[in-house]
Amino acid sequence: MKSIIQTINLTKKFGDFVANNNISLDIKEGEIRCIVGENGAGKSTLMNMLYGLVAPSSGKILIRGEEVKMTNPLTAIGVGIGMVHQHFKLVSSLTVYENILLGVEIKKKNSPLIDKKEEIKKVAKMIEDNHLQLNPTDKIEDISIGERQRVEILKMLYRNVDILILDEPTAVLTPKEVDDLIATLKLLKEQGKTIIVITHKLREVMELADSITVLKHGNVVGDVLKQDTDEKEIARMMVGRDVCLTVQNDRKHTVEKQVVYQVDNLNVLNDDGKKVINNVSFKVNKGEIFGIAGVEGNGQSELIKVLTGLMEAESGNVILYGKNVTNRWPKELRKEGIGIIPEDRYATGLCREMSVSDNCIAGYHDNKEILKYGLYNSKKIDEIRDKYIDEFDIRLGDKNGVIGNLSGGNAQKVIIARELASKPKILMACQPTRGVDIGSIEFIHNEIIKFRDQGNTVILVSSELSEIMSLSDRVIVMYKGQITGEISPTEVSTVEIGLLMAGIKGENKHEK
Amino acid sequence: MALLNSILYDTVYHSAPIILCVIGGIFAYKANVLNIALEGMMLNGAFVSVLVMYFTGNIFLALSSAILTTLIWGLIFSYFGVSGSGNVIVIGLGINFIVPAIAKFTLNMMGVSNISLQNISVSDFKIHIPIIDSIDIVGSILSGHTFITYLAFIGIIIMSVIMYQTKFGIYVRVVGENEEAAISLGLKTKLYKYLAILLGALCAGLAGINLSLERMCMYTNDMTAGRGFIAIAAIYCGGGKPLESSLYAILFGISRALAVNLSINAGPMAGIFDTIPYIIMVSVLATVSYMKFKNVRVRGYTF
Repeated sequence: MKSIIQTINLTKKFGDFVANNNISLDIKEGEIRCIVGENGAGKSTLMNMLYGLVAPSSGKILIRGEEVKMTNPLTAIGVGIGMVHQHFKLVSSLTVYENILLGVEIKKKNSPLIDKKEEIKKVAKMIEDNHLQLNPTDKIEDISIGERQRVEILKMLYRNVDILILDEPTAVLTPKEVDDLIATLKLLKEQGKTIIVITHKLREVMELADSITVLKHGNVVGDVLKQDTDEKEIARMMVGRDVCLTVQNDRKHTVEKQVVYQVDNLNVLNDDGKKVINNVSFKVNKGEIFGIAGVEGNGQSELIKVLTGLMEAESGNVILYGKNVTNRWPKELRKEGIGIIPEDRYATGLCREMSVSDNCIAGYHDNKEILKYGLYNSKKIDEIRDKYIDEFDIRLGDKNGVIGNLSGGNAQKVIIARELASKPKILMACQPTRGVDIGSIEFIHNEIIKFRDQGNTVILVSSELSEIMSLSDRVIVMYKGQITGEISPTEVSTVEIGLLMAGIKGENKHEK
Repeated sequence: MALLNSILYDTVYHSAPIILCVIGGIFAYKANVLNIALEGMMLNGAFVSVLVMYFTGNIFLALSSAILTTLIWGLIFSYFGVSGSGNVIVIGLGINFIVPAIAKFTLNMMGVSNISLQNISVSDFKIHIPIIDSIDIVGSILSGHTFITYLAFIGIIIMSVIMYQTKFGIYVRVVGENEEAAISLGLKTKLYKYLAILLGALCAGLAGINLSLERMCMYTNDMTAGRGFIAIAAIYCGGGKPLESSLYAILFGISRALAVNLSINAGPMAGIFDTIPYIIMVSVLATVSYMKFKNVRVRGYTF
């Protein structure tokens, strides 16, 4: 097969930091190439160079054998390269078709006005041709994340690209959406497109790839065909050591039948006055990991916001160790012994622009150890930081720098170190491993299990079904703001959970 | 009846400059470079048009120099705010301070407290619309305004079309809402910010000309009296939508018409009524904000 993209000794330096070091790739026409590596391995930098967003420090890019200087995205699109970014570049107040045609609008004849009818017609045809589920006139803000991704893909296809780069395409998708995406990408491959997928999820790599390139610390450490390798080998190349891909969760410990946390008839409205949590009640026992599963956007996010004090409930009670803590603020909840790992690290967990030390005491500003006579003891705070760095193996370039410089996994470890340090009785873990590298995922999972094994309670919300299933002792499934069923993860298959997630209640099946 | 008639006529009269600032300012607002220099730019239009008219007597020269100099302020604002990534609030405030200062300095040098034009009169600018003029009450309210006043109202429709039906409008909105999306498709984001600001400057310049030359044939210091800021309030209340924001502009026009007409009949109490537009502005802003966040259950608002 012919080469379609080649890079020769491509290098990118940011100051002294070498993000990509002499990368030589050879991607063949019509293949699906997966580029894997831990966070910070240089995958995104490499792709940004191919797409003209970042200029290489040295080295060459050849497209179909000819050298191309990528100066901006238009050059890349001009030679047939399109990119779907991890964080979608969509305008949420515009419609699907307006986003797809952004920059290449169709004008009415002899008029400066845009021909919206013609645009809608064209987009509708594209959607049909590619067997996708989308409505061209929906606004981006009203559609799901999976649908948004389809818009991004169509945006590139409309520009007649034959090489499609996808940056972490499955990071935010539900299992079903991942399957749909894989099907779409395979369809595109059949149409002769070349596809490059950046990911760190190995299951998808094995399902999708024809060949795999592994990056580590800016270097290519592996270039293999799929049939010659397996998940374990790739993980070893990525991390540099053997990684345990399955969680060691010994569920033999005893769950005491002592209810420590109880939610009664909770109702929550969203900004439009719509019920997003509808009469939800559940009880959590001491010493168990209680999982809340469901397709994203079915109320889990609002539920955890209410339980962690970020949002107010309309009615209902939340009872912690016999004490009513409904609608308390996060600070009070932390005092009552709840540790909070929020859903969005940088929105509500950390302050990106502040130092690591400042973030290590965030939420615990009243701690007598660090605060005396209204003044903070910065030496003590730095000691706390150093302790966390040691105990949680937090890797960072500059201890005194801002937390925004840390990788996702390390930033998440700061939050976990901070929340566990106050010795809470209950840990609210919301998407604890989202956007975190494999090595850190393993570490975080072990910390959560260790915390539970000490007799504490964990409430776990995650859109990663495998995470919920491997960690939890008991799982409830949410659909449209209601609980559709409770299951024991050791006894139930993924198929049955899938049904609950789609709103088909488990009890009915048993009745028949 | 005469009072009501006069209030309605004045509503149209006083709304026009605010509407102009609004429909020009919404583009910069949508492009995420809120132009708080509208006030200074408007004053520049008012000052330069009357000054040039005073010295040359050439109406064409007066208009073009007023618009050109206002556009230069727009360029200065864009250069520092967009190319230089400066803080647009600080730059805008700078322009709002320096324009009245230049005007006051010039008047001082001329040794006058205001410029009154002798070579042209207010009635020269009034346009009577043929058919509407002959209708009883409607005619006396809608007819007999100046060209730019009519232009302001027609401008609402023109700007709506530009905002929603043309590439320029879409690009401006995209640049403001998600600049990265625009960059990833190779759109020249800075260009659209410049154009949005310059469009606002053009409209503010016209508003200034309307205020001084067209309506009064004179320039007095600080004659814009906060209309640029009222326009910003209207833009904010209307969420940058041409029609909605213009309706708020008209609301502020009504309040000024009320203030003017009531104070004529109020004798020594007149000063009190001058506060009406500002009181209404603060109350409307507070109400709009309250309505916006009334149903938000998430703590902290920023989500």
